[in-house]
Amino acid sequence: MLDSLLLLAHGVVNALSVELLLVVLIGVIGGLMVGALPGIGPSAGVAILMPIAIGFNGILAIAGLAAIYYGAMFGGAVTSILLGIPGDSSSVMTVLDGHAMAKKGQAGRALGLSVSASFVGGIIGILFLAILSVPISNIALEFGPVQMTALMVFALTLVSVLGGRNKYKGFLSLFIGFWLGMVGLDPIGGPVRYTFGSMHLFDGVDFTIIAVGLFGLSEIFMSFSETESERKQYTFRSLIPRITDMVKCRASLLSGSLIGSFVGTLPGAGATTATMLSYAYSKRTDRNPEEYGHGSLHGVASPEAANNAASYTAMIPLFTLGIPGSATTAVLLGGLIMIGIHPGPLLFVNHPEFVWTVFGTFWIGNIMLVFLSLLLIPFLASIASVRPVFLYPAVISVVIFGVYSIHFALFDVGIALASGVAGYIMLKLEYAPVPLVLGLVLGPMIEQNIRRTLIISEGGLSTFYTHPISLGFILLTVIVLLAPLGTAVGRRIKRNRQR
Amino acid sequence: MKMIDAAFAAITVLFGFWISIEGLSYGYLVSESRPGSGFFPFWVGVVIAVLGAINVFRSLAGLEQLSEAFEASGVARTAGLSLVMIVFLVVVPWLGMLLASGILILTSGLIIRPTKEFYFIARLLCLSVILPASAYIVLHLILGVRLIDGFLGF
Repeated sequence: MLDSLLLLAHGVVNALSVELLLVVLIGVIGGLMVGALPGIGPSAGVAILMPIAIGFNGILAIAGLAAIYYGAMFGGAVTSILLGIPGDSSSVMTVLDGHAMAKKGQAGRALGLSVSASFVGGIIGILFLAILSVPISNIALEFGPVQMTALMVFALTLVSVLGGRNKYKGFLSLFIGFWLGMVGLDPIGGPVRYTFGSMHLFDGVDFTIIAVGLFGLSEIFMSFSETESERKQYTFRSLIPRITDMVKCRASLLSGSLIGSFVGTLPGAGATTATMLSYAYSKRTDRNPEEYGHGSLHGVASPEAANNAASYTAMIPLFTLGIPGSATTAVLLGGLIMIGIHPGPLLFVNHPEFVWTVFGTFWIGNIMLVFLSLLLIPFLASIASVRPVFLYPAVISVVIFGVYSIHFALFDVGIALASGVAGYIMLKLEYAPVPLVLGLVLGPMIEQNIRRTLIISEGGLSTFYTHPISLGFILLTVIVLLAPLGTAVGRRIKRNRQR
Repeated sequence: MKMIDAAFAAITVLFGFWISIEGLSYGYLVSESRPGSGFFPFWVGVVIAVLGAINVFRSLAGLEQLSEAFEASGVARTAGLSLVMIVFLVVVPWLGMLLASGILILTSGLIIRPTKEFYFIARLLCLSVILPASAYIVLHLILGVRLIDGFLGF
């Protein structure tokens, strides 16, 4: 471990060249802008800017592309907090409490907390990447369909925390999300499901499109019910972040970073799953869970820390095994191959200088993001004070252009609009929208892993109990499900004793 | 609101049935041990139908107390804005994305705040020019996203 830290320090020193600093700076600025635009996520940003980046030499190219990636993770929080539109799928959870804080006139505080959370998550993620790459990648290799199924089922138990007041409505939203995840080509069996004959739905429904409509447009529709007097007035003080918030949320920052760091390494799980798990864990373990969704600081800190931690650890399977765990790391893999670097177990042996210098640029890029973001916060936070009559048409145009730019199809804009109307009705009737997006993300993973498991085990379910990792997650699931019952029984016994 | 809640829940019951029936057409089982493409859709539909039925019961029995209501003005503005966006989707192939979005911004603002005040409309007009222009610069010129052109060539 000490050797790895020394190598990382050496990498940071190497990364202090003028060229690398400039490339990383351009990358993080580009990433911040890309992340803030709904629809154009980090993978699209990296892919679009790759032809330019590849023109530079090896380390410069990868440092620049990676800077766009983690910069975009930072930037996604901006529109989530200010406009209630998730900049990308991994910033959906930040909308819940971040935007609620902005509506209360605390946009600067929310943005400041997201910056500090992203910084802490980034530091822990980089340390995981530098020190624990090889052992973590070995653990990640153990995660086959059986283990992934058990993990996803465990993740689903958390929906009871995210499902709102009415658990039946929360689970109904979840299963509607499952159904939405089944639209399109079945990757195992082959038939096209629930596409109504439309080629636009052949590849399924993009998560970002649904999230933008469900959270962004529905928020606009819901605001028509508010009167002018209900809208908060903003002061200069409200535009400034508070350092004390970081101290108050230290537990959430740590738990979010650790959850994000671990889940980010699992191929296919990604930052979106990490943020959902982190938010749900934070809510479940908090003394005041009723504050979540209404402007809780922990509701911003936890997912943002997880988001950024996952963005770095998602590169662990890429660098150590040559396995891209997400769309963005798949594009990065392409970039590495184009410059003649073949990631895998021998990368650290054959190209140590390259690897540790790139890791060093991550460290520097993370610090750059903090300073850049803190400078921009007062300006960005003031956007939240723009009158809705001018802000909402702007938001609608951002949604339209952002969603269109995903697949260059107006059909997607129609889907976003339909999601917005559905989200409006759901919110009025108190069907929580978060379980729907949770189902949309986890549903396809659960279905595919269960079907693969049943194919491998020839229909036997005992395989879930014979694999230790899977058994561990099943036991955790049982504990989480029975814990409220145990707590209720314990309270009753205590009350009876007091009588 | 109680009746609207019950009606929506009833629709989800029907929706669940449809998902299950449609799912069976994709094949429930491939062999004894291999679930087919319709296996999960069938069960997802069943669960949706069951949960929907529970919600219908809870709503009619008065067990569900909703804090929000559908106000006429809110519904009207939502419907108006949705209609404007649908019209936008229809006219884009003719007008182009930039011109159509400018008109969308203008009409959206007037739906949100119906007024004939000159300065307000002037500011809205500025916004309906600046935003599409910004989108053109950022998306088309910088990021290389191809926007739909209309009969005017943009």
